[in-house]
Amino acid sequence: MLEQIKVDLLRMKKSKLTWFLILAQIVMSVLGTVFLISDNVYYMDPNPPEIICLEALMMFGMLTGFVCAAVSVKLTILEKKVGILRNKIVIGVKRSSIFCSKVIVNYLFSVLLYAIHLILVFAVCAVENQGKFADSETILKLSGIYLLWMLFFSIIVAIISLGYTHDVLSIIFSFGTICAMTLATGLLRNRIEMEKYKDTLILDVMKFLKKIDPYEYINIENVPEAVANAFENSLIPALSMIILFFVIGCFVINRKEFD
Amino acid sequence: MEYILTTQDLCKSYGKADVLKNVSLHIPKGAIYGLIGKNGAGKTTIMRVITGLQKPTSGSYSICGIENSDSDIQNIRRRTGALIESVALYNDLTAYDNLKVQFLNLGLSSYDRIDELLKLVGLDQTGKKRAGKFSLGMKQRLGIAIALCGNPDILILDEPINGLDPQGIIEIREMLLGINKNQGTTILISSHLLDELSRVADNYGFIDNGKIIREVSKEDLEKSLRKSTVIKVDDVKKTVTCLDNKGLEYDVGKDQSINIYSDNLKASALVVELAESGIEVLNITQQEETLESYFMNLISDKKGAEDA
Repeated sequence: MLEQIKVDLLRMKKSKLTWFLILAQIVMSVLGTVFLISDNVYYMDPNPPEIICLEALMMFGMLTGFVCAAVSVKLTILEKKVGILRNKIVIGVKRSSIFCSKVIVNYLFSVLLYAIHLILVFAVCAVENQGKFADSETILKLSGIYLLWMLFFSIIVAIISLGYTHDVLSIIFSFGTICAMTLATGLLRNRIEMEKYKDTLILDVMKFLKKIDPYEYINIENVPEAVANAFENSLIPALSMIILFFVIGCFVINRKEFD
Repeated sequence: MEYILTTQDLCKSYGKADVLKNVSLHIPKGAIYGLIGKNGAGKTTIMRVITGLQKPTSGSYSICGIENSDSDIQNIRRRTGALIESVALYNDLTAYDNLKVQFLNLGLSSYDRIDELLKLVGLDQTGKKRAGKFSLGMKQRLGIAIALCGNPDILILDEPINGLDPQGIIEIREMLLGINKNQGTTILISSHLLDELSRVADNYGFIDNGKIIREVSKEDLEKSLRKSTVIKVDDVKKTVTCLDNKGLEYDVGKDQSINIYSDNLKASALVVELAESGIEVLNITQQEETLESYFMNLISDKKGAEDA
């Protein structure tokens, strides 16, 4: 599997899209943080600088996951379309290795983009935000939540982009699934028509999803406490979902026949 | 005889459609095995199944003596190279980088052989040109180079000369013959360009409608290819009557030429006999049955047998 990871890393390194997205992430992180700090100055009752730092981190944290998913879908579909996956299977590369490497490399790219975002937020905050940051525990816990989400995204995207044959529908399904899950947690958060789903499987699933949605716990008015709460509550359910979907992914891909 | 790849009653179905029906192939080690069949006969499906892209519905196959049900089959696949249908390349990478990717796939740490492979397929001068800008022939050669990365014992090529110009076809042919001769690589090659296939293959498998209808070595094939005398005459009808009287087997072509099948026919004697009957022979040549006509006869014989 190490070979496959090397191949996918090489592939990402050689892709212009990767470098474009890294550049876009740098621009968005810097401008976004600067905008957030500037905007806050005009409020009568501005948030403390520590909270601004966390808000800046949150602003693009989830977006990074979506962006990485887009790159992964694009590269995987291209490989499938031109027959690159055939080259791998005919020389005995296991389907599960291909799946794992896609998940790992996409995740590493997510982590890289998030790290860039984190460093830039710190750098901008150091210059523009009176040099004040949130406490390191809160930052680590918030980052942990995002990194769990991104791993989950990576698995979902790898399953759909490898497992489904149609190019355009793969993209639609990938983002559709992620959006549907995010929306499901949103619905739960707002307690819309909760009674309607009482004592149903849907409610159980939604409750489960709720636990891994960081926004469920993060209240902007009291971010550090909300982050700590979110981290503690979401860790086990999120890991369970990740393991479950990873196993499903291996199962589906191992049975997949490639043209 | 030692076989490097065999299949036993291999079947593959897609829903209710049976694409392969009890296919049993025997590919000798060191051979160039030509798989011959019409479009849709099942050639590509056989290759997809034996390369592991698809699973057989029933039956089995073995590569280098390892059965497909054996867990070692994945390791054995490293000793195979394949080019199935279209050439799979990263169009935005150079020829060198495409080979480097395949070396990484194979877990090979040294890239020393890349230059050697590029030279072998005549792509050593392509430099930084991206594969997407290659001609079809260059792409095919790069595809073969990718298949050769693992120094395979068996090379599986599906229609590798499709769409190539005559120069490209000659280059691929020379290359395959060289690989087979110099490295001892067994080659399974499919094509519907039978004339071209007859120039490289030394064993043949004929497939029709998902069934192998015959396997034959080149030597045996040459023995069984019928010789014919082709004549053009001024009066076909009269000639046909004359040939019927002599009890000779023949057929009349669309251009009104007559193919007479007989190993012992003496051309000079035939001309004299026809002349005595008042028939003028305009042209006379002797030829051997081609692989194409042999294949067509096989199919029609099979169809005839099924109809009967």
